[in-house]
Amino acid sequence: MRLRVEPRLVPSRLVRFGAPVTGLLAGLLLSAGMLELFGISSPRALAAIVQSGFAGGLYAISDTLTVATPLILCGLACALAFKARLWNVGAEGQLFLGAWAATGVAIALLPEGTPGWLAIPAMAAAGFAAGAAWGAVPGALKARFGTSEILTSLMLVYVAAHWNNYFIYSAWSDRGFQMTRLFPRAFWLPRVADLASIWPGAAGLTLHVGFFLALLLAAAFWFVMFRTRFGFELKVSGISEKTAHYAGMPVKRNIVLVLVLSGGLAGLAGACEVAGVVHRLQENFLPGYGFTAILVAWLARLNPAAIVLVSFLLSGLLVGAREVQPSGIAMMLQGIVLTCVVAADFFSSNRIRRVP
Amino acid sequence: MDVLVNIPPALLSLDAICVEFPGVLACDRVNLALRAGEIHALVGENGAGKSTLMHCAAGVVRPTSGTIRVGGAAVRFASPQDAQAAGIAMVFQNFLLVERLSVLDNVILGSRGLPPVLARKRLASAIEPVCTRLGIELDWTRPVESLSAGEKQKVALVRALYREAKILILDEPTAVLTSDESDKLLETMRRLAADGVAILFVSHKLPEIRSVADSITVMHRGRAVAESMPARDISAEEVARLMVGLRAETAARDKREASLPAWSGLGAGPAAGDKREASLPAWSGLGAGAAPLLRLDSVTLRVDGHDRLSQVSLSLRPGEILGIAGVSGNGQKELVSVCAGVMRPTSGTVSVRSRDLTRRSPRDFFEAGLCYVSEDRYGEASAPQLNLADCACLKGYRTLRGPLPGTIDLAAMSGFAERILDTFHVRHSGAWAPTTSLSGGNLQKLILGRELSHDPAVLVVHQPTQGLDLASTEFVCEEIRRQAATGTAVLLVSSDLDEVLRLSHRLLVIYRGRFVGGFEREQIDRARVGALMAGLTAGTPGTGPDEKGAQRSRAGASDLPPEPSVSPRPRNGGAS
Amino acid sequence: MVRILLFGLAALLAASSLVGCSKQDSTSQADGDDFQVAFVYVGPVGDGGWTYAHNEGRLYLEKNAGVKTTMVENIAEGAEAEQAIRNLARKENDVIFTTSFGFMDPTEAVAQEFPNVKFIHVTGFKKNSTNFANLMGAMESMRYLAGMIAGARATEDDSRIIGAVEPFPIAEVIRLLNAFALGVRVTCPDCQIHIRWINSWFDPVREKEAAQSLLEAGADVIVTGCDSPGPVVAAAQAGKWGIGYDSMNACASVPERCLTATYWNWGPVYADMVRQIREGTWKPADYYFEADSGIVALLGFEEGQTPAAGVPASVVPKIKDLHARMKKGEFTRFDVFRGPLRDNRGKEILSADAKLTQEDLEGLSKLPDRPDCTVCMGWLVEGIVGTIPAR
Repeated sequence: MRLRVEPRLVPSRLVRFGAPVTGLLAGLLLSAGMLELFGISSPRALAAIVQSGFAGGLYAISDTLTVATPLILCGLACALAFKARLWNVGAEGQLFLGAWAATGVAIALLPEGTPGWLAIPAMAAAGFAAGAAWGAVPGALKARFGTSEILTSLMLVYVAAHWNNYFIYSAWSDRGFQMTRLFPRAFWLPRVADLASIWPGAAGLTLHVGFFLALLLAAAFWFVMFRTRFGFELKVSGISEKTAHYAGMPVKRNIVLVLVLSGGLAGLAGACEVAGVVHRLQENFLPGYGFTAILVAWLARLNPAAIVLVSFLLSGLLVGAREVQPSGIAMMLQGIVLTCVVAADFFSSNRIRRVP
Repeated sequence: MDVLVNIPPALLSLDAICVEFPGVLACDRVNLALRAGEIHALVGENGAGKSTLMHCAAGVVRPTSGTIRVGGAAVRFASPQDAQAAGIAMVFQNFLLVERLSVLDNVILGSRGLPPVLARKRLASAIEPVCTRLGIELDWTRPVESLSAGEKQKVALVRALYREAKILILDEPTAVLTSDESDKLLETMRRLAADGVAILFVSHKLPEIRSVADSITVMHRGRAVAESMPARDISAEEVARLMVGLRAETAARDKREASLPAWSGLGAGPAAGDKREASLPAWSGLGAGAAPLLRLDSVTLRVDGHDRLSQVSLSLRPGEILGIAGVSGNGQKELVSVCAGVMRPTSGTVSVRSRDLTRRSPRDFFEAGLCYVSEDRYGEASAPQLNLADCACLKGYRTLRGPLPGTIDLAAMSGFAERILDTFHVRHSGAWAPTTSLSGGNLQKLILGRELSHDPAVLVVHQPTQGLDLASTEFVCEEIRRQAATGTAVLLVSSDLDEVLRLSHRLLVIYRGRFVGGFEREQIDRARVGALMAGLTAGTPGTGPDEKGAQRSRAGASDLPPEPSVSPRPRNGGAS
Repeated sequence: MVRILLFGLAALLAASSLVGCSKQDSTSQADGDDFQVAFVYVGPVGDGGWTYAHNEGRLYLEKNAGVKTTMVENIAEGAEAEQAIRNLARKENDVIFTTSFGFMDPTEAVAQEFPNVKFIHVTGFKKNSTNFANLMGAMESMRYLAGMIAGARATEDDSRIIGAVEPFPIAEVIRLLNAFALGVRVTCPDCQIHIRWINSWFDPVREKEAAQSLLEAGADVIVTGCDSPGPVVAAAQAGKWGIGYDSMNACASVPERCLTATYWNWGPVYADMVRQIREGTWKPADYYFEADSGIVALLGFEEGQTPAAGVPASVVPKIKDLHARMKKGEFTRFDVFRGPLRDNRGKEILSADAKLTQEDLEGLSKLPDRPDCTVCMGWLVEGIVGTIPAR
């Protein structure tokens, strides 16, 4: 008797949703085993993760959604590109550039007294535009010369990081410190905590309106994908570029357009982080959301609603895992859980059969 | 039979091989004998069963019945490895090399008995003498991806020889080679044969067959219509006639004529075709004076330094069906792609309804009224993960506007799809079902229906009935004919000669990217078409009278012009 | 409009927290009357450098002050930082140390929310009037001594070039570099200090490459201001000398080729802060500790240590003497930067016997209740070959 892996032609609904859940459970079980191995009480550790990632009241949810915001935006950015089978793995760089441009608008372009209703949209637009420009580079290279967008978008991450460092340490440095000056208060994205004067319970809830924007864009993503001509073209291109070309679709224009929009979404995430969380540009304020988002987009099967859900769950895991120290163990737990979920994903599109 | 007695026993013999695939009898009691030092050509149209037969010999396919003998002993190959162990090596059309590895690594890859530590220099020097003898020069360290097709072919050959193959099977070895490279390959084949290797090779090119083959087996629709016939006993024209399904007039001379299958018994054979031809109304001539709807002027298409199309011109009149006959791989794909704007010609012009669209996009061609049914049903004309509605609206989605700018009206989309599905009798389970749920015939109906729904002025169809059952084939042909009757100009490209003959008002034969002959309907001569398809063409540029002479002496067929690409050198000629 | 949006968000939060079930309970801390101190680290404890040194301080505190401590490591300086700090505050910690410059804003924000918790931010410059202070130590004094050792070594080896691998051109780094250069010029007046900016705090590959480039330029001693031991190792491999930074084990991998290391010894001041807070005498301030507090140290010259073999014997008494004076508070950072000072373009920075102010040393300006710097740390002293990248 041998075992053979074969693809499922039409994965059933049960399998599609059951597989990741099973993977999650298996991952948690394995993690528990590892924790015990390290002499940590696994029920307590896991409870602590759930407690502070999801179930610990308003604070926990607020923290988790704050982290989820850039993940959703970058997840959408990746999903948009992946839909068209363009492997934009440089969301991180587009995120940096978006943060940079929003900062530039806030501290170098707009006068201090600009009202928030003008400044915030301007910062968001600048973030989007800068991310889009950063995405346009691999797009144009791909469309014109057939250069692999995987390499170019990834390499541009490092360019973006150094670009930002130049401004953080030199051009926009605040009194020589490794950060720019703080944005004027009016330029900060409104936070739930701003309601503290009316509702004291809101104090310390850092969730900002960027989260709303992310939800809105997830809905827009769905609409564009499933209800517009552009979405239809992307769907066909993603399935077979040859078919799209045959059907007279502007394949090359779409390559550029997709990467521009994808970069723009990631850039917007960067703008939200500086305007909503840090309120200035400084070094290493981003723990790799742009890379994590690749995983988010995959796990969500490029579906916008699932991206929101996966981002939430993953952020909860990230936030909750801080409760387990040293951080190496927390990172290991995240690794185990994610590996199990990704592995389980394999079984939703394949099955194992016994062959005599 | 007394002739055979004097000949040494066959190194490889295939006796009464039958291979049955679901619904198809790919090989029907085929016999083939291959002797040491012999070059044996296996000839036939696309789908005649040549590949299946070869795969049997190479252990890739297991015959349903029949016996394979190697050196007189019956063998059963469970896998290609078994065949390899018996000394049989096959070189596939795409060579099956690992692009990233070096030449040497590719040669030794998969060989048994390699030492755990590879002394590559020593291994290379062990192979070197063989190569020198064959006149093959290889740079062992180069990665295979940097090699030309001809060099890859050599690597594949050397790999086969390194495994000590006594029997070499080559699947269309010259298909991807330039004419220079082909010449060199044929030379190598001669040297190998002189070394005692038995070679079985598949080819559509009669000139090269004439130049190297000792014996010939011709297949047609799963049967061997000429079995292991000595090359000198059969003329190239006869081979061409047999290939396209005509009775060999001169075959009577051959003693084995009795073993030829009875032709007339083939249901969908030429007889049935003839009947159809009769029912086709002659070109109405309704657009005789009108400007051509599709026009190609001296179109040349160069890909990777090779001319896939050279100086091709055609013009298509309203209401006419122009058939392009040819063995597949002679530039048909490129021709239709250029006609539909999917590929841009290197030089020359393409115009649709008198509008020059040479460097325009497929969308411009579509908007000018040209619809194109690609041969590639699953990779181009449709795609596996699309649903039926997507597939139906692939070209018309722009007109199905929703209420907001840029949107698609999904209801209109499914309505549009339903209409096509109904009109063209596509058996389906809803407009949102995946295209993979359709059979090949139904998918083709959907694709054709989609193109026809746009009321084309020009319809380009490539291999429209490939892989379809009889009923679907009928349906598709009828639709094409009906469309032409409404005044649409149709370009029909197919390697199925029967189909082309049945439908066309006019016919062009394509060979190596050129039109080598043209016929009005009343002039069509099946044998002549067959000969042209196989490259037997008079007046091919570059043919010198002296080459002709050399060719004749070898081929023994005084009435055939040579193929320019074939080396005029005599067989087993001295090493250079 | 914004308010409506925010209320929407708040409602959403409330709803999801209800769905997310379970009351928050913070009973993970066993007994409430224990005094708890928490630390937020930017890197992992295992970095062997900056964070490692802070964690040594935490362990010292636990052992010597009898308090419970916790730490969270590897916290990015963005959204995570504020969340991590707030979580620790909500868990009824009494004191929270945040040990990276980038934690300054989040620490300030959380401090405002939790007036009963004391927050001490290391390396920053912000404070408030009730519960938020900043803390730093005069590493420049130790760097000055290290410079003297390097100069003596170069003189002994008949070399005149010393290399410095430096992270970013910010005031803190420039201050330490200048102090080192001043020290070098004490024992080797014609020595030159070549610098390489690598624009990273921690990048083992680039740190090593920078060191190699300096060695190729003829450097006899390599000093590093970054966090990895790479430059010291590179120097050792080239048969030259290295001077480490950050933690006591900066020299551990190549002790025979490492002259010394200037390292942080946070434990005593942490313990002092905690003691003051428990006694109720603590006030938020700009804490800047001199060598006499024990916060900074020079490897080989602290109690129970012996100078590395590479340190020229001739200079040892001199170093020991000055080190002792520093520990007694007789020679401070202001004595290190005592006039006359010239920058490396020949311009006079400080006239004879003039001294820099604390604000000058830190390059601080425009801060409430502090004077602006006048000779702001933004120049390189005589003997340094290189420039500060343009602002």
